[in-house]
Formats: sequence, C-alpha cells, structure tokens
Amino acid sequence: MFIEELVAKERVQFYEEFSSWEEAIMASFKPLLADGSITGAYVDSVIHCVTKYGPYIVFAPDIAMPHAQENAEGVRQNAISFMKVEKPVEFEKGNREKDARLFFSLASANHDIHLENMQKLAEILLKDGVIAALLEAHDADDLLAIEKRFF
Amino acid sequence: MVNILCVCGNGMGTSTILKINIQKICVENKVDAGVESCSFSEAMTYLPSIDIVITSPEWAEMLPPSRATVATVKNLIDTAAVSKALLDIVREKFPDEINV
Repeated sequence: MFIEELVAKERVQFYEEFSSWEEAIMASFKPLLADGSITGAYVDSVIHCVTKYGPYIVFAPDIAMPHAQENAEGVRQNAISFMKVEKPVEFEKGNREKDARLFFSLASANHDIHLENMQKLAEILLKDGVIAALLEAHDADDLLAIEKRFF
Repeated sequence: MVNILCVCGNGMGTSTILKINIQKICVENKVDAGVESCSFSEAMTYLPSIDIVITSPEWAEMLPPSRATVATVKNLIDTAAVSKALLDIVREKFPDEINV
C-alpha cells in the first residue's frame, strides 16, 4: 500500500550516481519540491543539519533518511519520497558504513500524520528481505512487484 | 515499568523508527515498558525520568550524564542487534519488568 502510494504520487526516483551527498539529497527531494510539499528552504536546512551534526541520517547500512525538524521552514505538508542510487553515495570519507543507496526523504508539518507515515515506513524497513529487494529495484514496476510480494 | 527513550538528532526520523522497533521487541519479549522518542535537544528534559536510553553512537557521546543506562546501536533496523542491546540491560538491571 505504502510503496504503491509513493509510485502513484510520482515520489519515486532512480539514479545512476551523484558526485556528492549534497547533490544526492537535493535530488531526493525533487518530487516533493515539484508537487509543492516543500520549498527549497527545507532542502537547505536538511543539508545544513547533516553538515552540522554529521551523517546520522544514514541510520543503517545503505539507507538514508534525509530530513530536518518537524514544522521546519519550507514544509507545507507531510510527505515522503523514495530514491534509489546505483552507486553508493559517500557521506563520510573512508567510512563505508555511512554509504547510502536507498533514500527515504521526509517532511512533516503535522505530528500525527507523520507518526502514521513512519509506522508504514517502519513496516517496510523492518520486514525481512525488503531492503535487499529494494537494492535490486531499477524502476517503479520493480517497486510495485516488491509491494505485491511482501505485503 | 521501565522507561525507555529513543534519541536522535531531530526526533523525527531515526528515533521514531527506533521507537516502533523497540515497542515491537518489548511486546514480543513481554517487557513492561514505556517507550518515547525525542530529539537530542529535548533529551535533557526527559532524562531524569528515564531508565534506558537507546541511540546511535554519534549521539550517545554527547549525552549529559544521567541515571539512565545508555545503549548504542549502529544499525537501527537490525532487530536482532537492537533486541540484544536492550534485553541485556533489562535482564541485568530490570529483571522484574519481564513478565514470564
């Protein structure tokens, strides 16, 4: 259901590679900028957070969850976008544990809706085999097949 | 009841995923627990009433001293590792909170 929703809302993207994590984060938010969920100010603040605190948004090998605070400047509505990058994006020089290929980019203007969204996202992240399958996905059809197979 | 706090940078992403994971682990292992999540800056106000803090290594280093036992996990969705980190502390310090 969740993956299907992301595909239907055109919030999924696939890229070959990026030359920096900043570029990767900017690209990951493109669908949310395009549909007006956020403005550029929010993307700036996400990049600022990572610059300031380090790549804590890479919370598991290969998975990044770019976001800033709830109700941060530039957030108009709750939204999540998904991006897969073929070549791992390096967040910390020499630390492979902080490389990421899967991006779940978050924006939240409403705490309750955010918690519902995170519950759905957690179901995906915590289900055995789903991350491995996402790493093999190359287009939206692959994502829909994953939804069918696991949920 | 053992009070568990999940901490991350903004209290919105990783700590929420971690909280959902920990709540599941506590139910499955019959641990009587209250689980909350918050941002690093909010943690200061919560800490006095917290028994166990679970966070990633980068935030653990910066937490002020408190009565809470701090557990760190590198991969927040590795349920086996998160489960072990939590249950080791519960079994050692709060064995009465596990309902058999």
